[in-house]
Amino acid sequence: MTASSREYTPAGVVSRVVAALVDAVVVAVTAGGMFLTVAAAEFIWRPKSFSWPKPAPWLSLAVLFVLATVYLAAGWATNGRTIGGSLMGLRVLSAARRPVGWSRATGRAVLCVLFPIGLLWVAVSGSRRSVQDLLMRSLVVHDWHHALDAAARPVAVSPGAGEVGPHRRPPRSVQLGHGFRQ
Amino acid sequence: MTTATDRRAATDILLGAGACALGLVRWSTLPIRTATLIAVRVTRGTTRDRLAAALAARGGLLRRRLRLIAEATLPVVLRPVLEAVLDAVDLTTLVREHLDLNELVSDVDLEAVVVGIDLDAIIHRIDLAALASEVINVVDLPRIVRESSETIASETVQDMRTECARADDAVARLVDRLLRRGPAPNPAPR
Repeated sequence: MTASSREYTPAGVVSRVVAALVDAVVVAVTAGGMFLTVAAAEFIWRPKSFSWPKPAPWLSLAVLFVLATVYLAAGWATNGRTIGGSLMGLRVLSAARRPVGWSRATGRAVLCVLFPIGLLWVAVSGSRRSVQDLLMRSLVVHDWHHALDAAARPVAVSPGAGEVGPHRRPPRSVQLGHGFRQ
Repeated sequence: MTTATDRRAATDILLGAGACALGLVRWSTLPIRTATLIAVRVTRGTTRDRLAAALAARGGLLRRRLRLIAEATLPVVLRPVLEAVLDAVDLTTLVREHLDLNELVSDVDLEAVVVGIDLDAIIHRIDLAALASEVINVVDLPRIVRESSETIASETVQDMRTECARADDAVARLVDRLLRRGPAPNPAPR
């Protein structure tokens, strides 16, 4: 399958896991940066009695949770993609192939952070959807070359069609492209 | 303007006059030569030696005087003659038509010539830094490096995406096989 024919088709488990791992690294690096910033501020404030901060585990988890949720929600709501998604050429859309709003993006982000294992359901699902996608009625597609408006343009992809193009508003039961089950 | 025929006729006349003069000299010196031969045969021993030495001294003196005359007159006479000859002859055409320069050059040991050249001295005389700087400015090396880096990075990302997408398809086929799921209406090409 060529790159052009793969455009707008649902992404599989490998691509999404790699993108998720990149996002996890970004969140971890950001959290580490925040930790160092706090330590530096404490050192500047009390240089003589400085010691490395030792936050409580619940606080660390809470910060990571908030950080990850905000990062994911902001990326999906504004551009449909996070840093990991940009690297892998993936974009999160609603089931109607429109940009997800802030509410759906935030809900999806919370579910992804709380239940990351749900991503593996993509491998089992015939429509390549994770547990979060099924609950939030979203979709992750390949988008290697085009901007958000092009990817989010409602398209009707009939089974057997070799190419994707804008035709008309899709029916309520969204057709996902050839080869993929509902 | 003299033609070639006139010049040839003048040359013949001069040569004829020279031949007559030479013949006249030979005829006029006949008695002297005859007397010399008789003297050489008649005289013996010290008389002949004294006579030979006196004649040799006189001949040497004459030779030296003739040489001085030649050294004084030849440059004055020869230069106009040579200039006249060179004006009349196209040396470039002459060399081009009658000289095989390729054969001449092939006989030259160019390797020995190159070995004798001090390349280090030549290179030291060149401002290599300025030359390299000028080449870089003309070639716009930073732009080439930037474009090639962008191309490499872009190709690397594209390759990674493609490989992951292929892995997605492979996983999907494996799961279909494990779950004994029937083929999709339009399965993705392998």
